Amino acid sequence: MSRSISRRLSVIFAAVSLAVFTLVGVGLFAAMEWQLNGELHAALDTRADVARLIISRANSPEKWRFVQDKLRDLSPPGNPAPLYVESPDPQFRFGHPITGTPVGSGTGKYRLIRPPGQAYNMITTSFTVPANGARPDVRVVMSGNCERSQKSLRELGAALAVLIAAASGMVFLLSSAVTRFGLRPLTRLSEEASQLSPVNRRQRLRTDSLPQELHELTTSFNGALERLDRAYERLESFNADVAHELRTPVSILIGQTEVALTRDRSINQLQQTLQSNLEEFERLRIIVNDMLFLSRRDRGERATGLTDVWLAAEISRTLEFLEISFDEAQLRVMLHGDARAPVNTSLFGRALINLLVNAIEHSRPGMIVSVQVTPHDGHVEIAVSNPGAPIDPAVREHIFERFYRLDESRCNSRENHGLGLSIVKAVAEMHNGAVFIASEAGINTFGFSVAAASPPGPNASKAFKNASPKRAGMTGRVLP
Amino acid sequence: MKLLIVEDEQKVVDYLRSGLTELGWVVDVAMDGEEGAFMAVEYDFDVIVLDVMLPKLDGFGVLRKLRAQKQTPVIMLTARDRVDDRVHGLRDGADDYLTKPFSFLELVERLRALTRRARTQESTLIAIGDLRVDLISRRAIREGARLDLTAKEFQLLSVLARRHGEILSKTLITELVWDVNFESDTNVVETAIKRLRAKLDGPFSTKLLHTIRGMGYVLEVREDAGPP
Repeated sequence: MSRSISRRLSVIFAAVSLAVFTLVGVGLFAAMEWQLNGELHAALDTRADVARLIISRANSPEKWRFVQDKLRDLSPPGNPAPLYVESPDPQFRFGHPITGTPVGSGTGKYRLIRPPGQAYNMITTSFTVPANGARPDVRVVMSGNCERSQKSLRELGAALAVLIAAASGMVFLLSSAVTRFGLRPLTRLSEEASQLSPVNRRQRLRTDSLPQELHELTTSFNGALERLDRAYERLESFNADVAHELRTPVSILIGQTEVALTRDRSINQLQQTLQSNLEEFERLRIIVNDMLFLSRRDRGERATGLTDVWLAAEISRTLEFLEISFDEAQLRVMLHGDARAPVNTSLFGRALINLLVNAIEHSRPGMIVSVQVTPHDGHVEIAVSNPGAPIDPAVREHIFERFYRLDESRCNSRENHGLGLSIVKAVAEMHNGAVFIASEAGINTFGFSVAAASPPGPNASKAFKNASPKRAGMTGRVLP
Repeated sequence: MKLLIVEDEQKVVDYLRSGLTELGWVVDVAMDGEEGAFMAVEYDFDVIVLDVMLPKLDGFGVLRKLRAQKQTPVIMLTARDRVDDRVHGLRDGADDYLTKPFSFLELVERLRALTRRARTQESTLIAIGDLRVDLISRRAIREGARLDLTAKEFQLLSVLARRHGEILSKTLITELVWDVNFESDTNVVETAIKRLRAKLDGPFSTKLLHTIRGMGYVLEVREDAGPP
């Protein structure tokens, strides 16, 4: 549980409160110290004033004796706050020098010293009383005892430290309870999430009773579940489609081989069976290869062996190959536009042929199929258009999916196994492109894009212009 | 021409052996990688057909052992259609690869290319029965009359004529005539053959262009004209 949120929050809370309490404690302590020092200074000053008054009147050694008595009253023996009067004339002296190690640098006229063998400091102040009569200038050192204030401060410090520690500890304990309480929705959420399973794919996390902070997370999590669910569904139906697609040739193979073997057949008949078998095997081979091709794309494979080519030239090579098909279907084909792009020419041709075959299958004699190459910023679009009935938007959404057929009745088509357009999509994606479909004004357009080498700059457009004659040659190239 | 097949699947070995033997190859077989590596190094072959997935030592291991000693051409058979498999194989010294499932005709075609076996017919004037194909003047003549062929039709005819007597698959025809080297779901070759046949065989009693159903087409004189 080293990464527990509540543990972490408790520690942070405790640390923060420790810092705050310490700050408050230090402030309190400083204020108290200032106050106590003020009192000490005031008491010292009062006594100093009295001593100054007494000493200033003494102008003869006789009077100094009275002064000594009064000073002794001011600091009777045993009084922890002695007084020392220093004078060049031994007759005018009083008390003993006050000695000790200085503590700190002192404030103003006050000095702090630690007398030898003492546990507490003394505060001292000194002043000079001017000469009067026979008495010369004398220097008076007044001292006060800090024992009481120091004791109070120590006690206060100890009490504050204990209080601060106890309070921080309490905050730590309480906050772990508070955060556990605060994080309860999260616990509930994770319990709910742990009950999600592939068996019940429709299940979603409840968002109604959740706090605002978790609402967004839960909504996006539910969104991810939704997408996964759809992908899973597609995969399931895809598996079924594959099985169905393979079942037809396999059942033909089994059936006709069994029939051939039930009687003695002539070599000719057996040959025909084998040839028919071969055709079915070929069909299986194509399906298997296409499936493997699509799975390569699914694993994120990119097109390799790219060559930078003029697409119109590639396209016209493909059109030349399909010339007979267009001719048979009594269609004409026109190619417009040109652009350069790095493509794997085999994959590109394969995608293009699939689009063109699709157009041929859905056109009626006399129509014109048009192929349009349009360079855009960063990619090139290749679109194949033919006149045809409008395609339902719901159909358009799925038309590039595997085994999706525009016309269910064409299910038994012997040539078309329903992977053609999904291969176009795979090829586009392998070239960092995408597929698109449009159906408007009686023209259906299927197309795909491939990434261009670099955004078309001035040089590219110049090169594009240079290619125009060839393009013009292609434009209007109409097959009878 | 001596050929070594290193392959552990008995059925594959059987049909390859009988098919290639009939075409005139002398075929040796190794059923696992260690035996294959031993035979490939010890004996001299013109070409080796090497499966990737083999017991004891896989195809890449065999290839490394072989390449340490010899430069016999190798064609690899791989079950996985993965680019890195191919790169792996070709970098280690394979000369070509075929992805399973592959067609027998294609294998034969690749083997011929690897051993650079001279074409039986490299002359510019080819005679098949009463058909004369002149590759230089690009004319085809039957019974003294010139056939009226389009450029593509003549190209198709010359491809078939150069390899007359040999079955050419649709894939190979697509590649040789249209320079399209990928699979496509079209009936272009069938239609082109149909049109060529109408001009080539239509007016004449002896048929030269034959369909081998499921495999491809062959241009040859047949004594007993069977069903087309």
